[in-house]
Amino acid sequence: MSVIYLIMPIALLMGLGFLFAFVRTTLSGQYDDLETPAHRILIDDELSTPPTPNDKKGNA
Amino acid sequence: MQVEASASLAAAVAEKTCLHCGLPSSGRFCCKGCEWVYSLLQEKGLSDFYRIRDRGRSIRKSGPALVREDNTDLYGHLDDPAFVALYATPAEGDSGDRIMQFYLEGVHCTACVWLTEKVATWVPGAKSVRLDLGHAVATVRMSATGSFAQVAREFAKIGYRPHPVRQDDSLRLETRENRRALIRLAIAAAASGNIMLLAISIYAGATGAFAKSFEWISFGLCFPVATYCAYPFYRSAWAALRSNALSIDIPIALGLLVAFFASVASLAIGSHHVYFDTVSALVFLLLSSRYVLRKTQQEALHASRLVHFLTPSWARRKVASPDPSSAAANDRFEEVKTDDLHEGDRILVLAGECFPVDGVVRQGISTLNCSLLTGESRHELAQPGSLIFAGTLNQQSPLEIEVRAGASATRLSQILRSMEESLTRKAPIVAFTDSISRIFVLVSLALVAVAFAVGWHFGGVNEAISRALAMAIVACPCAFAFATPLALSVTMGRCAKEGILIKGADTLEKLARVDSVMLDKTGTLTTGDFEVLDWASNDLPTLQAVRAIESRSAHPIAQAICRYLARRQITSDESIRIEDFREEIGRGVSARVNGDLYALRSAGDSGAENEDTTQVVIEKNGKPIDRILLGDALRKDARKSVLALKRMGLRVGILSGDRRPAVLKVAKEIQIDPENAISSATPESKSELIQTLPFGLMVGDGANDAVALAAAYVGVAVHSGMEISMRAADVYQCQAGVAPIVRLITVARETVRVIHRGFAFSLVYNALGTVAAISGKVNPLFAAILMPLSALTLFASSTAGTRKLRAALSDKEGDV
Amino acid sequence: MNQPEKAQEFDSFSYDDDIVKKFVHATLIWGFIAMLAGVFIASQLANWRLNLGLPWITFGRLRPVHTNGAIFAFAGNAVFAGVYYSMQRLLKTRMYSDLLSRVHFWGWQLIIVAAAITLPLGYTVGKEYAELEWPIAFAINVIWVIFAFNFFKTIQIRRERHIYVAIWFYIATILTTALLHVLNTIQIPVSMWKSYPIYSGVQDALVQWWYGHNAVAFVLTTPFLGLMYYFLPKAADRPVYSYRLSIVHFWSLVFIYIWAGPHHLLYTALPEWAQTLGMIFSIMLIAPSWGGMINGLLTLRGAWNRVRTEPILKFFVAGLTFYGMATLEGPLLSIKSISAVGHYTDWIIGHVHGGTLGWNGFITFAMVYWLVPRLWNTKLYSEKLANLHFWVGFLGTLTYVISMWTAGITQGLMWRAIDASGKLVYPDFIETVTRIVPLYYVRAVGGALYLSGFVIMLYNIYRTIALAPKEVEPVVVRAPKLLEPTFEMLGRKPHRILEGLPGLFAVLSFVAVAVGTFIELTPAVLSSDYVAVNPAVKPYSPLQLQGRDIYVREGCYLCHSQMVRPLISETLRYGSYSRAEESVYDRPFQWGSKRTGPDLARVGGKYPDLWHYRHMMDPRDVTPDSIMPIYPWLYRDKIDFDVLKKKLQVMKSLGVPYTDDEVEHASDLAHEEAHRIASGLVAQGVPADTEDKDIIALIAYLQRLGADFKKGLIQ
Repeated sequence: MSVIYLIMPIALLMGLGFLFAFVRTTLSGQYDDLETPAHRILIDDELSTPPTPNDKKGNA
Repeated sequence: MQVEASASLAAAVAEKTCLHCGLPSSGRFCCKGCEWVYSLLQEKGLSDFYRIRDRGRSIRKSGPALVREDNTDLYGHLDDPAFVALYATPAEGDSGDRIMQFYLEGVHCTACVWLTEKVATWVPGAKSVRLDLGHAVATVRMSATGSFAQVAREFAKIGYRPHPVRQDDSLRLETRENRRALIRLAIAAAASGNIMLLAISIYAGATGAFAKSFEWISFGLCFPVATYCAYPFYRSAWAALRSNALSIDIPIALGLLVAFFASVASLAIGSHHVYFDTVSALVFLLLSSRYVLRKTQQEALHASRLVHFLTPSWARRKVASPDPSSAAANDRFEEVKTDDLHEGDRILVLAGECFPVDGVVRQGISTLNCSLLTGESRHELAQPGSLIFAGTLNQQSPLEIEVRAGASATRLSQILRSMEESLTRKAPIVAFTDSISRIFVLVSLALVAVAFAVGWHFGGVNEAISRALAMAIVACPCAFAFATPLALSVTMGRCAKEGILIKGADTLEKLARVDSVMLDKTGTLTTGDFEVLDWASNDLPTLQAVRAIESRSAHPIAQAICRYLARRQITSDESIRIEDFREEIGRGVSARVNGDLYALRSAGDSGAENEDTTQVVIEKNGKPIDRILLGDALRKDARKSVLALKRMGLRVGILSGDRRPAVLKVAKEIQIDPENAISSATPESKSELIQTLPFGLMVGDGANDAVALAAAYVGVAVHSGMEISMRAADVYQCQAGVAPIVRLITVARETVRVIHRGFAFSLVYNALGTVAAISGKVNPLFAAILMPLSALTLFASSTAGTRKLRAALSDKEGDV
Repeated sequence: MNQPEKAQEFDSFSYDDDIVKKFVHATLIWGFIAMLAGVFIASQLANWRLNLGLPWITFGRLRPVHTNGAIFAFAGNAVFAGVYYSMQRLLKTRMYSDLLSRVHFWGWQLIIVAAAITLPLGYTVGKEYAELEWPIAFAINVIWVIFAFNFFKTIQIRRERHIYVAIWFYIATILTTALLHVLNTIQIPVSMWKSYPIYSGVQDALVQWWYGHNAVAFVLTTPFLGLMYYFLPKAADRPVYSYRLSIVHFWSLVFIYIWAGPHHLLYTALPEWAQTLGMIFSIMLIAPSWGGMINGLLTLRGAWNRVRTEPILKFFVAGLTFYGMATLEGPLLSIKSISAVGHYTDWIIGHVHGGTLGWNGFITFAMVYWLVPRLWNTKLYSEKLANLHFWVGFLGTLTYVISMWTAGITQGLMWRAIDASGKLVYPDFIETVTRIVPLYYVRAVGGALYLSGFVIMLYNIYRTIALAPKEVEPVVVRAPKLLEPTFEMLGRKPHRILEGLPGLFAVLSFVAVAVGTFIELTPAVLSSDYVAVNPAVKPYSPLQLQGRDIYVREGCYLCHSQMVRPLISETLRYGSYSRAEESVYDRPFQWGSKRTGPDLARVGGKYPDLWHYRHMMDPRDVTPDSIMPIYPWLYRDKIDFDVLKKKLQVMKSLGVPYTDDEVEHASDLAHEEAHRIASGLVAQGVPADTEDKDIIALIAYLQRLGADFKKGLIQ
């Protein structure tokens, strides 16, 4: 069963690795807004038609 | 403007809902605002809005587009350097961009996210717009030279009224603090999860080399938990000790330190009495319950605190030009804080804005909604020389006034100060629980000593430590101390979501003790704005002409007539030619339509014997041809709700500024006996009467009854713009009428019942826990899991509330 | 007046949908082949004649084709299709490198073809779901690293700052699967197509099932949760019920790295505490799994009426419900007392197919029905057929699962039945087999139904693509540039991270863990292994080792277990329970996970050589109602004596105590032993030339199983 000394540290390292990822993402503000991402995926991509003149002119 | 027939369009017309916001409406649009936004979207090629709107889900109730009919510019001041310095923050990195945040009134669904973020594509200088739908806050990133005013105007145009939010340090501090708390919670979660697995292996029989290495690994994992994650507990315990007060964190800090160092000691000497799992489980569960608590309270506060950011705290002061007699045309105005205004200064207030200070009109004529003070349900004329009080709304055209009283001295500011103070003052019931929990701490520390002694007597050092530890953990009253404020803030948070803003936790408690309700006629019992009661003629040309003329004026009477005509399907079509449209404020409007001169004049009070109606005379080429009668209509739900209030044991009365006949007529219809119906009351008489009722609840239109609302035991302001009413009343309801009042009082009473239920549960739990801990039945690990779980169950009961509370708070019309 | 300042700048780009089309094609093709193999081996279990006596299609060699085909070919390709499609849209960027995407695609298909060839030929490592020999295993690692590199580079060039929860599930899948597969496929090659794993016995069992469970968890669960969190909201036009819940249940899953492996080894020779740990952890897994199901189902709030009409939503709802059921049934089966009944029976097969047919299958079908019309810019050929596919598939899954539950519980209880006098009610094993053979027919029917549903989909998709407009110029989309720093860039200013307290304490705790483990590690590694082995126990003789490799080659471990559990009914039926010491030299361990046939741990010496000789020729010859296939090629193929020397060298290098002399004369020793066995058999009328045939080696190995224990060498 000494293989436990191989699996155990690796399991802990994986856990710590994900913990480190969580800390960095929290610090970069990923979890400040947990409502809008769910809505944002529903918005389809915008077709890149050549910018029509009135688009760029600024406010109508 | 060719409207392409899409499926949603056909559906909208069929069910008679407004094309833009989907609410029931007579014509294609429920109001001009929606029509305006609809046409703007068509023109900018953004009609995808309606396809996205039909998918997605709205997260809060939606109203019609809040577009101001008159195109007065409310956002000019946004580009003023002083303002930008106050509200905008520089973006990270060296791009020189600036970031400003806007609270958008009216964003509620996926399509709003899409549309708001599209604004950046057509505003020059805009780099990006990101909307946080949950908090309805849009973060706008502008280039160094871009204009925030332009963005704000665009938001207003598409139907979301923007309010710049000051990014002061309390908000930034709060986000950083939230993130740090989340990181502590995550580290504790990861560590306690893994330690628990190692502990289970040892409990399940791992011995020898395995057991030793597992204990060492547990120590390694528990080290950051016991030091970094548990730091908040040590800090607050130390702060309490230093000021020799008693905080509930003392037993926790004590328990954690004893357990951790006892474990390190036994690890060193090789004994297997190790409590790393207890320490990490306790820290994790405590941090998670505190995190839940903090988030719920923040959500509740967010809605009401935001209001305080909105009050305009600055004004446009005229720059003292060298010779006062020079023509007014080239006057220049500078933006200053209202606090810096002092007597004699000249300030300019545009239409749609509130007067920040008391003063005297020097230039310009406009109608004022000075209902804040006089309680009149009609509008007053303001011309040079008339007196202006702070807080009144300038409705029609810009006015220049001379400041009479400094900002802090105005009557309004006294009301404001009392409101600030109510927010900070704790509810009596919370103060009570704090004192009880302090006694609890003393008792629990004593019990820990007892447990240690009993343990020592029965089983030596280890038994003593284990029992003392279990006692310290079980007896901690944090469930007891937090459940009460949690229940209050959960209700306030839920009410905020339902459009009911409650100022402070103590208001909720006072609401539960209210015994009598005084309702205001205009706006609460009646619909509050003009309705056409009688207009016989149906000669089409006149109707269309009136419609064309009236749709140009912003006067409330004009809007009432337009609504009435819209209900009769008289739409303004393009064929009508209108020339020299003239509107004399206070007397009426006139215009030449298809060659004929039409004039509509208000003929003053009809003086008819039964109610206070207004008559508008229609003259064609100088000859009166018709007469329109306008007045106030009773609200549908009024009678049923008044009955419900009486069944709840409340005395109901009417307190209105209108004249006796109108008040009596309404009183008769909703079965309130005449002596409870007080009429033609001035603001001062209203507040004196309210003060005679020790536990009186005053319901009124936020603008008209502000003084009485402020003086009442509990003031509920209804549906008249958030800024004004939140200054005067304790509660602001966006739904008018009496039914919401019934709901409000039920909610308050049920919340108090939930709090009492919490008291009972934690008392029983602590008693049982103490007995079990002292008798050694409960070991520290079991206690470390039991105690936070009991706290969580108590929090769950506070959050869930009672069935009646949930029913009252959930929107009757089912989930949006 | 200067030119008006530009508003928000945009990048124009187009998504790489071609790679998604490729993976969808692969999913459909391999899905059909894997399911066809499944139905075929199911019918082989019902009627042994379908093995046709051919080595390449006998159950032992075809079953790994089905399992590897279904998991890595069907589910694998489906996951890749979903990841490539959703990831580009969520991150608003094209893949980092189109070349690497193609290399990943063709590499993965090549691996599958290699597996489809080598497995029927008998080249297998002998560990479930990790059967592929070392060259293919190595290729999998390489292709996986290429995919991971392309994946993480695409994340770095993204235009959307927030990383949606589906992407986090993909990240967890990539990282953990890579780690697991590498750790479980460390093998020393003997020849091009033969290798021995470095772990043995109980160690190999723990690492194998640590990998085995997580092949299920991180190949069949987390990626599909990611797909669900993207495709369900898109199909239902509803944001996910609670985005906060999805974040919580993701992070709670990955912080505590998966320890559920041991629940495959309950009541085996694995140490008691490891079994309890596996049990308790599996029960804890209910929370994150059900978090995912509840979040998915409640997303449909307000759209339930559409479930009645739209097949895609039906698939999602049924898939999520099966996911909830399977992830509740699994933890219950992990409870030791229930595992005592369920382990080694068909109940486990019912649980597996509740999850795979129900959850993985239905989510993949929903995704394909949603994706194909969009990829080929057309409408689905027929909604009616899709609905038909749902009902046929649903019926097929229910038939399959219920028949296996019935068979499993019946057999489990019959094995345990003891009458008042303490004797087994069903002493001979065959009684328990004949009782459930009819259910094997029902299961085959269920599988056939599911396959026919799949064929309906194939036809439907084929017609959809056929009617699609021929060439569709790629859609060019635009998205604003990303201005704010992303969390990787956060690292650009390292001091900001470490100066924060979390960094300091993370380092401190790591040091503490390292010191603690080191203090413990040195004594444990130096001291004798946990399993103190009696030196008198000799490793396998060269001939027995060759026989063992034949046992592994024919996949005998797929129907026979070698692990007697410490339960009364088992010790009565098979003899004393198996000790860890007995399998200390077994590379790979052959404890097995299914008893279609009886346990063989104590079969050594139980029957004479001739019995085995006749039994392998035709099992019905000695057990009339046996459903075991016939193995005629064992009497034709010759034993490869030359490779034995190399095999013993490799075993010796892995620590097996062979003497140098034994290694040197391996083939001579084998010849002697073969001659001894053959002469005994020839005396009883067996043809003289069988001395060098595979059957002799197999008999040598079978007679060795449990022999040391009977000689009293192992207590």
